[in-house]
Amino acid sequence: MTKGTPTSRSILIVEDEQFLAEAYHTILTAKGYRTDVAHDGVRALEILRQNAPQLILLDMRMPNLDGLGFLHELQKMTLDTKVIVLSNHSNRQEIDDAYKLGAQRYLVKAWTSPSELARVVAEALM
Amino acid sequence: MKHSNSPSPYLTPSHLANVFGVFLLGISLTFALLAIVQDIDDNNVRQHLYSESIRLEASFQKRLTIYEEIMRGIAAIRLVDADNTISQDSWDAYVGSTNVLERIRSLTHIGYAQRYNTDQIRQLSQDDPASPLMQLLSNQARTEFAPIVLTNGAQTGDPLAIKGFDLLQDPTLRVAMDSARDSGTPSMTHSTFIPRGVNNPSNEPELVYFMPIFDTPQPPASTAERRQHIDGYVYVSIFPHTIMDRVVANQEIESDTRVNIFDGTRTNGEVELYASSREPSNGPSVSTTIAFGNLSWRLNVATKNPDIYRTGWSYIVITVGAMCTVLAAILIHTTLRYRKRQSALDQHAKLQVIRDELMSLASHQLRTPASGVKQYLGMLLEGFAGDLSPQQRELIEKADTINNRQIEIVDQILLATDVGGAKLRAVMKEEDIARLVAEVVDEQRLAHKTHHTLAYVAPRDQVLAFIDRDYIKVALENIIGNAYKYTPDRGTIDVSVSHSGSSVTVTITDSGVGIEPGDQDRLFEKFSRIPNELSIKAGGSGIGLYVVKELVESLHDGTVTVSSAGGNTGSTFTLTLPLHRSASPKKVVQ
Repeated sequence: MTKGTPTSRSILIVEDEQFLAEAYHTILTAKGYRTDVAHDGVRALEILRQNAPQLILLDMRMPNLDGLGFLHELQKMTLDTKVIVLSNHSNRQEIDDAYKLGAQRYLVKAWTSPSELARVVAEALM
Repeated sequence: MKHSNSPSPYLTPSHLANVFGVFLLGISLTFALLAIVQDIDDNNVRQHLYSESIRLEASFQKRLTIYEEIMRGIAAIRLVDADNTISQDSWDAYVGSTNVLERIRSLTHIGYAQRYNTDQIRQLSQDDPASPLMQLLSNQARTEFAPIVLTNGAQTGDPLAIKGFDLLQDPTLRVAMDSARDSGTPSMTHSTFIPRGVNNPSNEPELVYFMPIFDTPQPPASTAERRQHIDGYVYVSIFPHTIMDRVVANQEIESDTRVNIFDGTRTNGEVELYASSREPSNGPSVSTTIAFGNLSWRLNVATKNPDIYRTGWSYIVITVGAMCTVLAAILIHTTLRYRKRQSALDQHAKLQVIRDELMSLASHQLRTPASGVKQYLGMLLEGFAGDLSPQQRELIEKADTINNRQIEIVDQILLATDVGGAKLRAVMKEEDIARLVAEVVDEQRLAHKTHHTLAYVAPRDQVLAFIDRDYIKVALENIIGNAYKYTPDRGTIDVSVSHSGSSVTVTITDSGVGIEPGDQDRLFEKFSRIPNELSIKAGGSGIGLYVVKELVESLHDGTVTVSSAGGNTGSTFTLTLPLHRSASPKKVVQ
């Protein structure tokens, strides 16, 4: 696997709930980011192989390949892409696992407003 | 939380049938074993009785031998007396010197009968016309006679003691006498009743034993010769009961042995010669046949006390069997109840797990649409769709507030589910609890846009406690949040932190509606809500304080208490946490 250079200000939204993916897309494009959307981990990996983004917003519970499985695969790809986990499960074990697999932040969707999401994304990409 | 349909602690009919079946099986086995043991015991008794019958037979044979010796002694007199007869003097000397009747108590008579035919009597009567033998000739049906010529008897009027009494006139005596004559050996009558009138009131069966005396030095060889040379008979009479009396008196058998003697050689059926008791036997008996002279007697031997000869194992079997049966039934009953209870508990636990998982799943699922609502309302409030009019903003903010409350409720339910299912993983570290309380106070002031006065008195120094920061923060947020909810606007909420050597105490006192003393016991129960005006307005899940209690007490070994006089006098919640690492293990993730 070669090291990929992420596209600047590009964000891959990995979220199986359509309305949430659209909300994040609207919020982030309003802040000037370019976004792609994948509804499961498998599709997300396909997109990554073609064009590595700078940041991934990753849901944990998805069909085909869930968030932790995706993070395992992402580690093998040795990309410079950062990951922010956006999940509605605030399980400590899951949070620890995500951080161990390279996530920079873990946000609970229900507690995160649009402005807070934009702020966290901006901090991660600094 | 109590469940309305708890499993019944009582066994089902099939379980009870199993218990009853075990009980019946135990009883059956006990009785089966008892039957075996009793059979063994009865064999022991029979063995004893068989020994007794052997001893009894030996006693009879001993006496028979004595009778024969006595009769032979008398017969021997004849050999030494002149004229080959037994004189009265010789008789008296023998009987007197031997004291036979005194020594042999079972003998009631001893005598000698002389056999005559009619020619002999006529010859004698010529010599002595007044001889009483002449009376015998009046019986013209017979040609032979055997009058008693010598006797020692006990009773007046007793035929066997009357000189001149013709023994051959009695058919029973005659049979024995003829048998003795023909065989040349002693012969005994069957049991017979010799009438003695008032002198034998019991009228017991009697035996008369005859020894033939021949007029030759040696007994003749053939029956014909014996008939020709029969001279007379020595006889003794015996009562079977007197034999048995002597046997018992001499302790020749056990005193508790019961004996029935039957003469079995009669042609018209058995005749009972002797019975030691008329009471029915309550145990086994043994019947044996003994030869008494020419007779064949049946002895039936029993014992009055069969239990003495039993091993006693039957009592042990009954006792042990009954105990084992009862114990087995109790054990089965207890086991079945335990298994039923365990099964019910397992099922309850499984249902609890399923319920918790369903609640968790449902709650997580509820968070998703709430998250979507939060994003879209947030975008509206943040101007993604352009500026909002004040009215639009107010309405959207209300919607946002309501959505946040929903999220808060779901969070509470999720936390309560994790707490109840012991799924929490505490990350304990030393934290400055005074600073944590200050942080929560500041956040609550910002979150509640009300006119409450929230005051916090913190210690000057750090107060380091060994806690899970996030969970204690949740507990503090719950209690201070409740203080806001249940205190009217412009009321006061005072928070303070104090510590002693081993613990830290956080006290939250409000000037709110208070809690009636009767309601305080259930305040920390799951889904408990105390109805009042403010609780209805505030809403809520009723599990916040349950979560606080579990987080503080189960996770941190602390305590949380409430005091209030009710009636709008406010409430004081007190959290106490140990300052140092607790010795007891915390709940871990399953």
